[in-house]
Amino acid sequence: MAGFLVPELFKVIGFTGTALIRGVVWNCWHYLLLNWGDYNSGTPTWYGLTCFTVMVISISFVFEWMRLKSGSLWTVAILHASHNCYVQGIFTTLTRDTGKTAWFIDEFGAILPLVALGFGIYFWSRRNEVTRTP
Amino acid sequence: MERCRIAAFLLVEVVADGAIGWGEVTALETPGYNSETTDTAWYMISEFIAPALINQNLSAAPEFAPLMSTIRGREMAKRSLGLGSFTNREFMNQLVSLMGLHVSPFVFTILYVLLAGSFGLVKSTAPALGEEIGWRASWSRNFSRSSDSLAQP
Repeated sequence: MAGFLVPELFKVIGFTGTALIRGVVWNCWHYLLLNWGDYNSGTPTWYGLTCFTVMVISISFVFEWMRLKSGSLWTVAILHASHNCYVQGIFTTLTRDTGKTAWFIDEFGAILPLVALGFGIYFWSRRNEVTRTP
Repeated sequence: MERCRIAAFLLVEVVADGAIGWGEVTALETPGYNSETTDTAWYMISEFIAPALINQNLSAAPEFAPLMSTIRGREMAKRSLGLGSFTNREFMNQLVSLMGLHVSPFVFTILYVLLAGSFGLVKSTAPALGEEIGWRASWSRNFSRSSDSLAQP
């Protein structure tokens, strides 16, 4: 996706549209695991899906900016790996469950989407720096 | 990916002093998610885990881990009967001891973060790169996240 779809889509519809489409596609194939796999948390499905959707679409702006700015697939691969490694393997593991914890932490809680939204808006505001296509 | 409508899961009931607790074995019927299955969990619980717990006088969850110290792996089967976490000091002491280290739980936690954040990051990069390329199907077959992390889930 980051190797072909993002740079090619960017040529046609620009930064914002590409990020939104990337986010929707990314969400769609994660929904398979969320609904039919074992990829969820202790919150209701509607809540987890909402948090996950907001997070993925928001962070898509960061992914796209890094991909286009660097011209390399490795930037997004490392960002993606950092997300999986730190969120799933470290932050969640080190967090004590106080009863309502699942509603806030991990990819299905409320905090990460808010942080991702902030970064998404920040990189969206810098979209004009991404002018060339790799 | 076909939706699974009927599946066999193990529910474990523990009765002690009139109180009843339930635990669910999250292993699937086939070893596609990880190495454990419903049947292997049944065997491990009935042959080793449950016998180790019967007639034991436990007052808190952290006392469970030492009783399981002679059983390697089989985390899903064990977790149906409870396990501690990184925020539980007694559990951490057991974990540090199990690793053969002579450091405080705090230092161990820092070591864990450093190792998971470095070597773990390298490991995570492979499937992440696959996802970015669009190689999702291969990655999902080897998918093992929260319920396989060290302290929990």
